Amino acid sequence: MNLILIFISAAIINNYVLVSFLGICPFIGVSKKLGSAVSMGMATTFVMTITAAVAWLLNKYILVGLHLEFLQIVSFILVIASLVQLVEMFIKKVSRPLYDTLGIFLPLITTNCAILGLALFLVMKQYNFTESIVFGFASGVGFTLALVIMAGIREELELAEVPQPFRGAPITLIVAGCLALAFMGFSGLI
Amino acid sequence: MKNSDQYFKNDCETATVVDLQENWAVVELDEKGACHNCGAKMLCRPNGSGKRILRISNTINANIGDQVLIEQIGANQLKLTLIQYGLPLIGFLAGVLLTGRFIKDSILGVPVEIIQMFCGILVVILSGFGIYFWSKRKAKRGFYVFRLREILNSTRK
Repeated sequence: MNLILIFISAAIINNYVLVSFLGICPFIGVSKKLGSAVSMGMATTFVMTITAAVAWLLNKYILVGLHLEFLQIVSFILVIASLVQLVEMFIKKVSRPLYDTLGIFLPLITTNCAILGLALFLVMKQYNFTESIVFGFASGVGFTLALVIMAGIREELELAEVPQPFRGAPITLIVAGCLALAFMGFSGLI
Repeated sequence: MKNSDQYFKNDCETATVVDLQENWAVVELDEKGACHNCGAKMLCRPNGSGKRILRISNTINANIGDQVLIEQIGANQLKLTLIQYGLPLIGFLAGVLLTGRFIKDSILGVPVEIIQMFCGILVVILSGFGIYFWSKRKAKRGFYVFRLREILNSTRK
């Protein structure tokens, strides 16, 4: 039951993009096409889940164990960058065509602040190992959800007659604001 | 309202054919305006050359130097995404959570969390083999995400 609550809380109520405003760059940049949004969301979910596990182990057995908590941010940045590189190398070895088609999304994740936010949040929330992984997975699902909703709306906007001054970035930011307001309605659910 | 053809073209990418390899065309995608100020610009080029290069089946008989329109097949991309990222992710979650359910205490002084992590990574590696064989089989059957739709500017006279 606790894991389900963590999942709902991270994916919907405390959605990284629409409530915490983390990962706005890919949210705006990769939400033009639904296909790309799903790919980016899945890649981010994968990296977030593994980051949650690695960050938890690193924090408990190295940083806390050696009283090096002040190195949290630096070590998490290093872990995320190395992890993304490892995943990229893994996909490149496993399937070159897949890497050529979808590998583009992986390096973009290195610069996604939502991943670093996740690592710092899970330390702050003092979850156990399993809870941390569920938290990481749910955060990725929430990120994908926000991206897919946004992409769906932007694809519809391509067909709509948007007034000239609102075309492009302005209408995208207005939609993002409306979505954030809608997600605020979930606050207090748990 | 915009017509559907204009909408469709917005969903395509333009590129230039830079090489021909048997039945394949190697194309270099045109850079988007949004790329100019992006901090990750040099990172998101999978081959490290700073250029976005794709190898696509040359179904429209394009020549080197031709500007072509590339169509993205959404359903195939979704399928590939689910296989590439979804399968290892499910494997990792299953490996970690199932190990946590069956192993409660440390073994030979190794903490449960590290055993869980090890099992999760092991399943990810195993799923990698699955993806390898799946993609080999699909490649033989001509499964692709991008296809050449039309030649915009031909070098042929």
